[in-house]
Amino acid sequence: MFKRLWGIFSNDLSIDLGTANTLIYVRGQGIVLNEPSVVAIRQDRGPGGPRAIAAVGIEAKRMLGRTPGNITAIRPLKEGVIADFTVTEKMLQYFIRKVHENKVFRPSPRVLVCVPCGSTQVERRAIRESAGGAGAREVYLIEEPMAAAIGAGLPVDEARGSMVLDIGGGTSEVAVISLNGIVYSASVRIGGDKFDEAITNYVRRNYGTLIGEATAERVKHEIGAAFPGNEVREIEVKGRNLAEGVPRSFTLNSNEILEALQEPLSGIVGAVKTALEQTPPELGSDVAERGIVLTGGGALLRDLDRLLMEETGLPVVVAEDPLTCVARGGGRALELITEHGSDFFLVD
Amino acid sequence: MVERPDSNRENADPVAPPPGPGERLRRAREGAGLDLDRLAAELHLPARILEALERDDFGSLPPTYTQGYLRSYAKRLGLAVDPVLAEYHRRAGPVEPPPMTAPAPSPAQVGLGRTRHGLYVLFVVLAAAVFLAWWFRGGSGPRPAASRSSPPPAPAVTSPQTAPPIPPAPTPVPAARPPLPRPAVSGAPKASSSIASSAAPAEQPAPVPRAGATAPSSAPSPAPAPPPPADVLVLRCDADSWVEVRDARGRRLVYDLLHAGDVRRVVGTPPFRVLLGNPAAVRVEWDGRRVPVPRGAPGKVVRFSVGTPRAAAAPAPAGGPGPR
Repeated sequence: MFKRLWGIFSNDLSIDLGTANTLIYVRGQGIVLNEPSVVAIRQDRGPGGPRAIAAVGIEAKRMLGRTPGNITAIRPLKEGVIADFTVTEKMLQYFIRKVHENKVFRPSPRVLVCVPCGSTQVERRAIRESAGGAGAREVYLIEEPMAAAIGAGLPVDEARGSMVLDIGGGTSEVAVISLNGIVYSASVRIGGDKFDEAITNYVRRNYGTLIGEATAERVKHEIGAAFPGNEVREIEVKGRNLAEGVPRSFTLNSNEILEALQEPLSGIVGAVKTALEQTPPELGSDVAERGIVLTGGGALLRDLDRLLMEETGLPVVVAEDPLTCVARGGGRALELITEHGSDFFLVD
Repeated sequence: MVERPDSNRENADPVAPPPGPGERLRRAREGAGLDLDRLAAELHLPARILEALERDDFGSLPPTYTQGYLRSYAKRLGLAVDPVLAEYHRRAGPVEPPPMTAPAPSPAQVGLGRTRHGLYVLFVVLAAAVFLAWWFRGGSGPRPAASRSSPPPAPAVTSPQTAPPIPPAPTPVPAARPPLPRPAVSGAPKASSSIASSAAPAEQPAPVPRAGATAPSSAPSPAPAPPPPADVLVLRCDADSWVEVRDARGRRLVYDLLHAGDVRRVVGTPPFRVLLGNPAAVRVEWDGRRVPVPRGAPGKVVRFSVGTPRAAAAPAPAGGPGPR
């Protein structure tokens, strides 16, 4: 009774709780929130003092690596799963409030959260409890590749195999889907963060210079590539020279970044190849005919489709608006739940 | 790819849907002197799919794939991807992208301690109660006044007076609808009896002048544009009684505790729906004639309607006189 009453004041939300970014899709409104999953925590008066949230989202991300002693900017999710339960709950609470228009009533929406397909029961339960603690009236969980495939507009309900590769911040998931179900899925803990890390390591090794997470990400966005292209692009970055101990500026080019990214990229390619190996032959031929669909922020890495195409010999296409595929797919799944009561793609 | 050469054989599209990207792709490929089969091998696509794309024949492929193929094809040919996709969208219809809307900023500070669940639950329960009250009130028709002065305590006062009067001939009232004030009437009679008897004269100092003046002022003023021949219903009280009167349109004309000796004149559209807390103590007159009041058991509330609807005035369903 109360649940239904509360429902009047709340919208249904689909949340892509990602390692790097959290996206919220509201039925009928589209993507209403796209913010980094970063929380800055202020702890005054020493180590035992009261802790409070100083900033969440974009604001907090600007603080990453730039905080004084009493503020720590952390990412509460690591590799697709919750690393800090309390902070995740607070972050979700903040985001849910932010997208909730009605300021009078406490939001208590039905929430669908996407979880990596490799996540354990414990990790799923943590996400469920965390969303519940953040004010959700009901929590549904859906596996990320399923949501990504729905969001990318793949014909998941047909008796035809579709392969989707979702490269997120913390994990990459590859799955073969047919008849509304996942035939094969695998998750590797490689994603955008690993790319950044690889760039940082490369720069330290080859230039003897330390750069921060944010700088590495900027380098990746601007000149990162997965396949050698025709043009070589350059970027000037500043970092702390380890030998001299002072900030120095230097120039990186796209070939160097390509080299730096080899290791994480080969991990992803390996996962795709394994998936193709494990896929039943009938579905494999469907995949070979239409190709692999890339979603997630990682799909925006330049020429990643090209790399996969060359490595697998299959057509590879990047979905439209790959960053929001999962959240949109989750929203569509919520609609299906509401309209038809079909919850076959949900997980416990 | 920039110049538009002599009209090609495929320009003869009579129905004239917007031109797709196929023509542009084909010309770019031919301009570069590339073979379809070679390109197909490079893109790992069957040559027939590339051919179909060049013919603007998108077939039954889901748009995700078609767009992806077009994108890779355009990239391979060195064309800008966006115009190609734009042409495709014009041709195939929009594939509505999700609208990006920016939410309003909200207070940032969220404490890291435990949330105060109790407070929230209390607030939500209160909100639900207010909402339910609003729902029930709003559902029963348009209300003339915003709210009367504390209606709920009034019915409780009537109950002590219900006991003493003459035991009337018991014509049992069929309790069809549980009314709002009913629980209060039978709820707490003893506790409030002493308060009521002492408080009633003190707090209502002017029953006598009001009875003499028979002023309709305390009753809600007649509706701004009612039919002119409004009927007068007169209520005379021999003892204290809770009285409610609604007219044909559901407006609440009386909702009050009348005291012994009170005379209340009510102007409105018949038929009236009358509720008496103490039926034995109230005489009802309509059109100058006394209306028989159905007798209920002592302490029971009776409801009945008075008057017949005027031909033009009352479109509401007519309730004949008598207990309902």
